[in-house]
Amino acid sequence: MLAGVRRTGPLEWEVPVGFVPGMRVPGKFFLSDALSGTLEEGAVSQLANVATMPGIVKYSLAMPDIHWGYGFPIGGVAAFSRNEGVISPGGVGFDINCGVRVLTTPLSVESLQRKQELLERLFSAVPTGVGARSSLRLSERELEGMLASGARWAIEKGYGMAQDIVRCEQKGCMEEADPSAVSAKARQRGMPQSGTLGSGNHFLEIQAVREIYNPDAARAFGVAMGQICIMIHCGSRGLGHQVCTDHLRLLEAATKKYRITLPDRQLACAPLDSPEGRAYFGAMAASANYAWANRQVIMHSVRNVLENMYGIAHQEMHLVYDVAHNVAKFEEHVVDGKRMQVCVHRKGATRAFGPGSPDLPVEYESTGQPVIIPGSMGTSSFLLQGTAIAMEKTFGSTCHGAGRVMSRTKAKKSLTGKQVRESLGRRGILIRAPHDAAIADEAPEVYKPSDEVVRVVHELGISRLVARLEPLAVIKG
Amino acid sequence: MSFTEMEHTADMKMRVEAGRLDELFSEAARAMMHIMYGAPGSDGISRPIQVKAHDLVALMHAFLSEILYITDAEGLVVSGASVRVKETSVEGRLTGEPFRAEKHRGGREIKGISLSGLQIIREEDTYIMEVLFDV
Repeated sequence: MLAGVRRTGPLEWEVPVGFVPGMRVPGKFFLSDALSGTLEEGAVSQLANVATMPGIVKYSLAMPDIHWGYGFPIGGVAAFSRNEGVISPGGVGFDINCGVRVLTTPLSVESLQRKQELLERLFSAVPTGVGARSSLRLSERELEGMLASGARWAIEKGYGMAQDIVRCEQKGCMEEADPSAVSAKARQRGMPQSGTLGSGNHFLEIQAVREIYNPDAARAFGVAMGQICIMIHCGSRGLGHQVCTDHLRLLEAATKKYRITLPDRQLACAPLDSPEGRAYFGAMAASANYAWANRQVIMHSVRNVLENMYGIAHQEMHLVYDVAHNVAKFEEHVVDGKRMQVCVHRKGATRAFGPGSPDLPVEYESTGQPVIIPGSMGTSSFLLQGTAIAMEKTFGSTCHGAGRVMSRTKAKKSLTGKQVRESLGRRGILIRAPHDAAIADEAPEVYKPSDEVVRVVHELGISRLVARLEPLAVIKG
Repeated sequence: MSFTEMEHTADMKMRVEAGRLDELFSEAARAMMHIMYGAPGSDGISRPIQVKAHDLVALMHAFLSEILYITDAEGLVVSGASVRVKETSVEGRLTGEPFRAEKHRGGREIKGISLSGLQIIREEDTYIMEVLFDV
């Protein structure tokens, strides 16, 4: 382990105040011995940098998928006091509300026919990859609706069913959204991209439930052994990217104005109650809503394909849940024995609210929130449940995915898209992408093993395993 | 080539070198397009670009962000930039070709240009910059 970092438990590590100058609270991260070899010094420095930000409470945290990002580390979680804290795009990222949802079907592995055709039809129905454009022709007013109302807007427009709403974190809409803080440039980028998957690590996957760890929770989530599910991973597209860029610039000026000293310019921030902080929060919330609407529209296209191919009614395909990975939100948490309102930043981390928490639908009140952890292209994804321990330890948060261990430069040198495609094919996993280059970039070998990452969060108790899903066919953006 | 890919686990890091500041900006634009589209061509399309910022690093960030916006919103795959850099402004022209799915779809999307570790230094006669792109 790195010099200066202290072990405080079998899976817990502390970065003490003083690791970098100006830390206000210690840093804490969660990692097994098996994963410790993947820890980068840069990621720990970033974790410590976050601890220098005004109004941070308790700890600067990182989940076991911690890796070197920009601003916050990926896997970073930090809560800021409503009265004295700040908000920063460095704690959210460019892809605001990049997130994931999973949809169940009545199909089973045995009854799934025409897998290749299903993959092709899904690929045609969901615009994918660089430069992909939506078949939706949004008016400015409709975009406004998307920004203000998120998944609710999509459902009102006919993209889904009313019951989908409660199956989204925050009911698919941050009410604090302020579309007026979203620039004309961001709108211009967002207009033709609604309902598109994007590229990079975004994907749409046909999966099968291969293992059930907690039958009661699985039943509550509506998943059963052998069942076919569809997982969708994407975010707020060019609109969210532009919002981050625009407000980063404004917040750089605000950082100087409010005399905040920071070790990294990407951590540019402003007090939560300042005009600049409020503007970013409002624009970020509007982008988060765009992302929820986006995933809702994509899921509707998926349901249409399944209906057309197999005659399955939309009502038979249930959204299990939709979670955000990159977002900042006001939540109530207990800090030093007192309940307080904090702004929780999750950058490559998932909310994991325990049983009885607010914002959960009735059917998940006793199980806790469904947590969806996507694997990499050829590896398992997992369904977990949020826990009371997460509420105590991590502001109700857990990991978000496997976490990369190999750079794209190295991946490109050591793997070709063709090799990856053939290797997955030998395991029965089909893959469809706009181009082979996108496949090599995201090969299973470039990620930490997802099963070890979820084992750590399960052992810690910050979320508990419910089911494992294996990929059968993948669409890569 | 005056730009090279550097090791970075999650994203794409580039080191760019040039003898003059104007060239550093042009090369940075080419480096970004290299990540996105390999080696794009030009079919004579040209458009002006102008950005302002309070310091050199912010200027570079604003310049690359503007090109990203132009590429995404206007569908212009930029192959070259001819610019003049002053203390707080950069202006000039971009050249390139229109985005065509059959040619450019295999590219890689850049989500944003990070300010983390973005620095421009001068060593003797060379300007050197390291920049991290979120992909």
